[in-house]
Amino acid sequence: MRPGRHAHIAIGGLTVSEAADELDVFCTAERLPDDAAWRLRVALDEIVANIVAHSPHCPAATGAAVDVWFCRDGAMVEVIVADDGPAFDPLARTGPDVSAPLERRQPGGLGIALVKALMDEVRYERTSRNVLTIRKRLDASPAAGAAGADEHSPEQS
Amino acid sequence: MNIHQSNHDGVTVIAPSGRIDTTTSGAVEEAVRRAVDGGARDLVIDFAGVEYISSAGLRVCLVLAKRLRDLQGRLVLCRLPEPVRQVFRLAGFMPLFRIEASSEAALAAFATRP
Repeated sequence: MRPGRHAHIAIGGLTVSEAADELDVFCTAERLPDDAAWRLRVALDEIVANIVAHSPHCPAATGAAVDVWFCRDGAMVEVIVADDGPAFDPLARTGPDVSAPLERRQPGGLGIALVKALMDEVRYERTSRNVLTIRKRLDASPAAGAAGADEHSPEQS
Repeated sequence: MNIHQSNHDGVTVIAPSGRIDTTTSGAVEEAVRRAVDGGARDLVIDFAGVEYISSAGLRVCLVLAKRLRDLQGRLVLCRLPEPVRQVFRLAGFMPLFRIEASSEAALAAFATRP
């Protein structure tokens, strides 16, 4: 995939919102369909929030940063996120039990489970850094994947 | 992130607008916490103006649902746009909440107060 937009963002209190701003610029420039754009926004939010939360450098700014590359090749959008934290494969973690009742629900792990579900491809590599690559195919019909479920949900807690 | 709050015959309706993500979920959490701290027990969250929700926002919903249950309160969510609905589905959140299509239906859900 050809090189695209790159952002180098210091780790700190504003990392997640700065990454979101960069993605917004990319989505606008590429005129991405709403469906792909919100999926990418949620996925990037989860990934960068995860990095910041696990960063040993946080909250003190010690030069640690994340690099984000945004690329588009035809109908494929790719976002690569690299950080310098200790080797950590977020995909190796078992997702939460999404069928458990309310009292046993824990929010942990939900973010990465969402990334996997919202993207078409998610890949982790350990080079000298943690490198997470997410890919989203731009569908011809933006409504694809939306279940035709009845608006009124009878489910209750 | 804008959060509109109103009261309808004892039911507190909280309507955030914009994105509910890592950056903004704290404001939503603060709004619902203030409402419950102030005595609200019957709550509606109206999602009509919400672009999307990330796990940070799901966590706020989960914490609120547990707290209201402990207080014998009730929570109804309404007008979920498709991106919000999809994230709720993927997270297995649909069965955990009462979800209504309209604000009228959401308010009507409280009419059967025992």
